[in-house]
Amino acid sequence: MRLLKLTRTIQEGWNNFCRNGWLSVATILVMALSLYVVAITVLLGVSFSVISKNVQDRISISVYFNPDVSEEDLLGIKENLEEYREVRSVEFVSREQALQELLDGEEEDSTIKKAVDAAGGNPLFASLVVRAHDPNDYDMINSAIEESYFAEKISHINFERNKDVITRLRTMFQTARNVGLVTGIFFVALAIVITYNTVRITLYSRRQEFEVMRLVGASNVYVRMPSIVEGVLYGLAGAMAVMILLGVTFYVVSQLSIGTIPQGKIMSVYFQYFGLILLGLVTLGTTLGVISSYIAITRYLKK
Amino acid sequence: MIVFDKVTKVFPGDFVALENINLTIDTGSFVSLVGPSGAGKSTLLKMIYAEEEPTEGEVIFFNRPISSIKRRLLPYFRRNIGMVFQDFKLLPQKTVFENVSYALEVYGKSDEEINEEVPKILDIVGLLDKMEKYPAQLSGGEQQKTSLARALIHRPKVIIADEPTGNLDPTSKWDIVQLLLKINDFGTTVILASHDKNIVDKIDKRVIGMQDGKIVRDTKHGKYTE
Repeated sequence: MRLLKLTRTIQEGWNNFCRNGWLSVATILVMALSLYVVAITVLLGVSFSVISKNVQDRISISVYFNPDVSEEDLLGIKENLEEYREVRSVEFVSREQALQELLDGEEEDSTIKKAVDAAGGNPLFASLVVRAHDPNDYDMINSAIEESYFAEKISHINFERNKDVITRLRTMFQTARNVGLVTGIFFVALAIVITYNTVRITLYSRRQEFEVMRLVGASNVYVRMPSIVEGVLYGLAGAMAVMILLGVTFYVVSQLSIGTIPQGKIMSVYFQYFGLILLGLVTLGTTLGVISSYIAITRYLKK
Repeated sequence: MIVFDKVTKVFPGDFVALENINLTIDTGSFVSLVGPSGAGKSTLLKMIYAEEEPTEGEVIFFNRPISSIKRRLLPYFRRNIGMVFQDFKLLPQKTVFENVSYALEVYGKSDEEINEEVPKILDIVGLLDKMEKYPAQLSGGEQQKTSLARALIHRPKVIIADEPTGNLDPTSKWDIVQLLLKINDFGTTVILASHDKNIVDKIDKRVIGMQDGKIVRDTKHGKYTE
């Protein structure tokens, strides 16, 4: 008996969903738009944090040493620096490596090459590239190096030159994160309100049916359940629609960004996270649909 | 047997819809309720199917005071009563067959029983060939017959018809009334509220006249007017 009622309820919900035609389509569209906005906000947030992580990884302090400092000394200093808690990595770049990097890809008769030749040998310094865990620690690391036992072996540090850029990037990331968080919350709230209202209007247009159902002897549960099934279906259909829409968005963005980001990278992100995004959207969509239906129909069952 | 025992209904704003109604409707009888709009006919009917509660007094349905029925159990109680309305109250998204079968589905009847019972009832009201149609594809008379079939499907003790012919053409009106008389012949109590003088006169059964919330006359083989 319970099973019979359950299958009937699901059948009811499915029939209503199909037979409501345009009303269902409109509800799904609104649901899809809300989910799309939420999905885009979340994805933008995620990719922004990936990018910002990337950029932060590139910030570093290069410490250039006088030409008379031996390689063993430098490796000793490197080990010493690596012991700091704040330091993530120290990379040793020898004079030869520096020259190699400089000349890499230059033409045989390029100006740089001529300049190096004119200097009569390798004019570059050996250096240690220091990276911190937290960009906020560079100031401290810089002064620690300046006051260290090997200070007089240092030719120059490029921190002062990069300092401005580092600080500016840092504030930019913080602002962007806060703005993103606030707009994200705003959009999610908006999506909830819009979906709720749309489902409510859909059910409002059928409120007389609920009365009829009760008059012919349907219990409240029996009136309510099909609408909740409908809510689930709206959520599912909305999530599917958004997956398609997102696929298109990813494709367009990947086409627009040819040359700036490695080709195919953006599309591969879509396919890599397909399951996760779908799961998130289905969960959010059905939850929204069910809660909206439940609240809305309760209003019409008061009596 | 349905008994109204000193029933009074006052709506908010001190509007007295029914005033001290004492009435007994025998099992298996056919009663026509007549009177102008606002006389209290619909309110009286609503009390039988527990859509309205009396402010004072008690309605007793087959020895059971309706006020003693728990709200949760009202849907089960309503299965004793078949209802037909002026506006048909059909579910527009359902076919004729589904509209009728819905009343059995909510009851938890099996598909086999439904497939057996529904065509029988549709045959009685003469809609067997239209059972796959939607209400919008039917005439008013056919919609009312669907509604009547739905009311009959539980084999209820009582049929309540509130202006069932109000929206129909003369031929359909008479079809519906004849169906109601036929149902009554099978032993079902029928309570009909109507404005229609021709119809009430033709039925030639008990007539109860109402005005301003009171019963003003009660005749065994009555006419619409005296």
